[in-house]
Amino acid sequence: MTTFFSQHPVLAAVLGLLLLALVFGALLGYAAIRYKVEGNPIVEQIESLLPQTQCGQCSYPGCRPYAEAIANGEEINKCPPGGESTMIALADLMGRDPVPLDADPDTIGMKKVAFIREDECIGCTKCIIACPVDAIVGATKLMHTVIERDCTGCELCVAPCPVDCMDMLPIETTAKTWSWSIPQGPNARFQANVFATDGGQA
Amino acid sequence: MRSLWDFHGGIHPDENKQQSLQQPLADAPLPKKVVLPLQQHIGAASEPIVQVGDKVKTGQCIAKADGFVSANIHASISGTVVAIDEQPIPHPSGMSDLCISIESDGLDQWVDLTPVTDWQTADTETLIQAIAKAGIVGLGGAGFPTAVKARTRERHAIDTLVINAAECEPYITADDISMQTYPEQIIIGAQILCQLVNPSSCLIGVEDNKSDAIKALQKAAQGTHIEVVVIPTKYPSGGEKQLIKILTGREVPSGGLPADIGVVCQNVGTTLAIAQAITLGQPLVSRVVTLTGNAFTRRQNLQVRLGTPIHELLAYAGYNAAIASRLVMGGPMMGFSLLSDQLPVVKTTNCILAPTAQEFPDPEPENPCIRCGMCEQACPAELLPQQLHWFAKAQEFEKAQLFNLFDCIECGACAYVCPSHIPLVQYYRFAKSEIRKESEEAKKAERAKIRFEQRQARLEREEAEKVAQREARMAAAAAATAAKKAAEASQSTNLDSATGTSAHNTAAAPLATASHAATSQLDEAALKKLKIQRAAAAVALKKAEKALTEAKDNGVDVETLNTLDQQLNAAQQKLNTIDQQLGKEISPAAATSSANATASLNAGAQAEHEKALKQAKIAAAASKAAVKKAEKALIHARENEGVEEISAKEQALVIAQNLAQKAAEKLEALNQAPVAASVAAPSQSASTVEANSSDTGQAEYEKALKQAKIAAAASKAAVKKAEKALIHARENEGAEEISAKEQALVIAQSLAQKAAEKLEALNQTPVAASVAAPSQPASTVEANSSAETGQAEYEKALKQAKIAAAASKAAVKKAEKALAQAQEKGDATEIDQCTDAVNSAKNKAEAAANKLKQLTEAKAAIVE
Amino acid sequence: MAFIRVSSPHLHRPLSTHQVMRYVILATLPGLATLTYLFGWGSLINVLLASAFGLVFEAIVLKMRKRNPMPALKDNSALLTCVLLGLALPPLAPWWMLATGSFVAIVIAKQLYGGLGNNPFNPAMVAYALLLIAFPVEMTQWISPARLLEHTPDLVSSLQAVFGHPQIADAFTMATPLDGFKHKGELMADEYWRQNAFMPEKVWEAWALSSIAFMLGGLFLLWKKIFTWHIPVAFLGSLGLLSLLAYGADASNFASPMIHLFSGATMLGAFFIATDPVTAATSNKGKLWFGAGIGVLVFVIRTWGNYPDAVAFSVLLMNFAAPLIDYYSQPRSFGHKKPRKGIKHDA
Ligand code: SF4
Ligand code: SF4
Repeated sequence: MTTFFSQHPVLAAVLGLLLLALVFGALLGYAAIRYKVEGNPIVEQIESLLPQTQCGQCSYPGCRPYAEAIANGEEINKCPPGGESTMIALADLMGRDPVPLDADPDTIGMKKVAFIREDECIGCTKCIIACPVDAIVGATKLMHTVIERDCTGCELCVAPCPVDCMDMLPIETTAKTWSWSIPQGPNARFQANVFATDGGQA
Repeated sequence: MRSLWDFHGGIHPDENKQQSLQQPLADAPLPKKVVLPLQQHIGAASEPIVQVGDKVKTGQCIAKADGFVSANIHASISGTVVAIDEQPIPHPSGMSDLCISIESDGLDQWVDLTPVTDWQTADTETLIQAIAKAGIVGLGGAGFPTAVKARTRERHAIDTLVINAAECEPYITADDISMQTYPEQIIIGAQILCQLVNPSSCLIGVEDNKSDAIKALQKAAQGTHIEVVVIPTKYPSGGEKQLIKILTGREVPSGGLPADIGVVCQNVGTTLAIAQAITLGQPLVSRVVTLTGNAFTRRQNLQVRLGTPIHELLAYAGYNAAIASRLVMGGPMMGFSLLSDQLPVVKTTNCILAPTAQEFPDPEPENPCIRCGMCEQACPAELLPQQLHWFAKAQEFEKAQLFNLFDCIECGACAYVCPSHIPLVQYYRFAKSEIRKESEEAKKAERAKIRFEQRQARLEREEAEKVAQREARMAAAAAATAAKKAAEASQSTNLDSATGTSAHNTAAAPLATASHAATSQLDEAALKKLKIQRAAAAVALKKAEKALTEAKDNGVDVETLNTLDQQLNAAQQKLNTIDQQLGKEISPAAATSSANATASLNAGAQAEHEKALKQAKIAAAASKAAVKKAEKALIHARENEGVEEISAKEQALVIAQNLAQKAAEKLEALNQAPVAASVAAPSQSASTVEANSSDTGQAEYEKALKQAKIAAAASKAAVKKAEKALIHARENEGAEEISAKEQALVIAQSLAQKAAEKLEALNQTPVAASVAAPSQPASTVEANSSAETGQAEYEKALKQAKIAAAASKAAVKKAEKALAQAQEKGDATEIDQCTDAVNSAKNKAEAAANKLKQLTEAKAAIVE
Repeated sequence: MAFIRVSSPHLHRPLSTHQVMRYVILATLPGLATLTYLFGWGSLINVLLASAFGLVFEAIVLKMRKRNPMPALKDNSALLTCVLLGLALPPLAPWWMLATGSFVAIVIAKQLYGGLGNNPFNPAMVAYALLLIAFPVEMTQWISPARLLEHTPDLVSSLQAVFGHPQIADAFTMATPLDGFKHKGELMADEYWRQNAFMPEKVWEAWALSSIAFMLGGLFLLWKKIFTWHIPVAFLGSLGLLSLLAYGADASNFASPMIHLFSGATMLGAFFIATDPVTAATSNKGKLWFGAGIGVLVFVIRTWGNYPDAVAFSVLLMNFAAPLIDYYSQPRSFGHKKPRKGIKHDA
């Protein structure tokens, strides 16, 4: 045996390598089973990045179907409510290149909420049927109203309304929801956030 | 000498306190008009209890605390309420909020004050109530309602009471001058607090740069167990956590409260306000404000009425706008710049700073961070400000949180020392609010997802059910056809045999028999009809009786009682008429052909209605069953505690209720039809027909009402369920769960409201119907049926509305409790959430109350 | 008056980046003066030339990056980098070495990484290391302490040496004590000192004097609270301790702590280079680790490595480690029981 190997060094080397490969392969295989990470299925991960507006602007009936479609190779730029950031997060997750959003740039990322002009509402229930998250309450011939908290701003209820009493209102900032913006950063000259100038009393 | 501890970092900016200490404390001139924001404190905004045009006196409560964490607001001058609307408030955003504006009458008439003279012996509750009544909040800056803090002992073991008199911010001397001017009162305030908190030691921490104040306090504190502790001057030793560390060596745990380590901390100004509220009965209508900065010619401390417009103070203190570089409310380290001078002084305003450009030059442009670590050396929270800044700038919020961003107290020490002039605090504020927003959004997305999925599931289920039903119906139809065919086959056989056996019979006899049979049939039908009428009338009578007793029980005014009495009589009369008619019908001799014809006509209409009604009834019953089922499912779901399931069930309930409503509406429609029919009918037997139709109307209304009642009850049940679920969730303390439950509650409440509305709507219809009916028949009948029905319905609607109101009240209470808990936990986000919940519940309650009012009014109208 | 929205705090300590940098530059002056006094004009020419090159490069790069160069030039950071580089390079280094060094420091090590505050490595040391690898001979020749030996290269010949006649410089240069010690061959330490009879006392004194001058500058900065004591103390402490142990164990083979601490770039490194805040660890604890790490590396490389001095390499290596150190040396924040270790999710 030893002599055989010493006489055929090339063979010995090849055999040795093979053996090593086998051993490591077995080790790796074992490790893969033993230390298997129960990863989130990709669809779940994608879905967790989508804003859950359920608006269907991606042409899929809801966020989940779009997530599934992305997993199967659909473009990642079809979610206007999510905006740039969602698209980039998706690109990150899927290892794809970011692509510009496929939407009207003015509407991207704008937070809105549906509002029913209640005295105009005829109680047709059409909007209730359209709302993907059951955020509208009301009953036939009675005034309807939007639960602001649950409204995702998907606008799906606007079109069905026969009397056009549905408005999409941008969510307004109040003193309670106001917050400081990020500073301009280095090298930006201080531009006083001037609100009023005042000759003032002496 | 008590041993003191030190906290990490801190800075020593120029104190600049002497400028405003040259003059003694003085009263600011009375303002001509005050603007009092409804939110001057942490927690829920107060609820106005005055109306525009009301005359108020100084010290009169004009807005009540709304919820557990909230505070009363009092008129700070006497005069007239001129507006309750949005006004710019002192806030970094420069935005507006609801305010009550009072125009002074120049008299400054006070309400009668009710001091607690025996405070040494008074019980805790009395004192706390007095503090709450006076609307006292933390005057140091945060504005936390003091009464709430005073209750800390109910939940925590407290051994140390710390009175924060450090006043470490440069420039401000409001506390200093208060201590110099009212040392005795401050000590009394501290003693009152001791009585509430019952600590083993009470420490007043004062920075060593206030020697006059220290002397005054020490003199006043002689003979008490209150200790005046002099601490070294260093910013921010007046930070609650820092002061506690200095005095006790204990650190308030991250995200915790001082109470967690057995300490309660109150600002010295608050202590003074407490003393004044208890010993003088004086509510919080003024406070000490420092006016300082070189753009003033008179730098001093003033006792200022809350709500005083700042520009009046500026004018008083000789403000020179030309040389001022900005206006700051609060101190130079933590105050915020004002965007206008048309803003009121509020409870937390301790200083108005008008510096010149030499004092506060415009911020220098930001340079890159050179990681010099000076910020770290200065940070009292022992954070790494440079890293936080880095993460905030790169919007890596997760990492920022891992570096304890939320332990930053925004003291500004880091930005003060940063040689690169980085507005570090702004970065942190930005990051914090972004993080809060993100988590809100994530929650919202999660909720939307759940709701969407549930809806999806529900739609599928409904579809499946529909298909199943359709199939069942088809099968039934097929079976019926088969049965019919079989029957026909057998009948034809019978017929054949009959023809065969009696072929020789004459034609006359059967004809007579037939005609006789027809007549008797007609009679019977009329009889039946009358019987039904009688039953309906009897029901109406019963109802009226019940209404009367109820009204009597509830002590309704005499007039209503009389009307009800009349109604009862009318019902009785109607019943009698019907009874008489019934008697006539029974005697066969009276059966004339015309009567027969009428009767037949009536009977036909009646039968049809009966059928339609039956159908409607079935539909109603079905929907009722559905509602019940949904309710049961909801109960079940609640027991199983799955939020998702619950909301799915609630949705089912909503649908069931919608169905119920539809059924009710159908009933209503049916209702109108007989009236029309009877109008079209010949008027010979008009009176009976009328009576009949109105009777039918009555019965139908009864049903519709029943239906509506069921719906209302169902929604009430849903409300209750949701409430219970909420309580449960609250016990398990998952904020998310709580908010889900709250939502459910909101939905349920809105349903309840809807149901009530429906009742109301139903209410109005019968009136219209009976008015539309021809007026030949006895006016009594009409009046009777409409008024009676109306009465009964109102009773129901009222009940309904009452239920709704009660439910919403309960919801408010619940939400408040949740808020209190959140507040205890000190989680600002949660507090906000709960506050919102409380507000929305409040709104609901108000709506319900309004409805109740409307109903009561409408009732009066109907009765007339 | 304008109503402006500015975030608190409204007060600011009157100390800006450019002032910080100026303080540091000022603090190098005693060292520079001593060097000039002892070793002739070389160091001064180095510093001036390197600074001029550095500022020009900085301006050009900023222009190319479409930034306004003025604020950046005014912040004195480029100046400081070049001053340090000039001090670290041997006196009478040829002009092209200074130019290369400034270019590497300013353009490659600093601006290409995004400018001030974003460079992971100490620019002066990157340049120094690169020059050391590229021109090992020039870099290890140090001018002999002229004043002490009465061989003063005058200003003219100094300039000539810098601009194109390195052979002039050769006449004045010799190996640094550390380099000499490194290449002592088989000689024992004390024999080495004895053999180089002209070197010991006086040369040693010259090195020690300039080291002390740098140390004084550093102490001034400490007093001014420009940086904290952590890095210099940890650096000098660990280096001193290790060399003491080694010297105590085997005095014939190891240099004494005095040589380690007071010759070469030790003091310059400890107070001016390792303390460069941009590239050092950031928390106090982290700074201790960082400084100690440099000390250990300096000792190891000086003793067993191929290069005579090691401050540049050690600093660069620890710059590498700084982010890691930062992750694991977060201070315990107020109200927390334990510091957080690293960026881990404790979910
Ligand atoms: S003080 Fe400013 S420049 Fe220095 S490390 Fe902190 S943020 Fe950076
Ligand atoms: S503002 Fe925050 S980070 Fe800055 S010093 Fe104060 S606590 Fe520390």
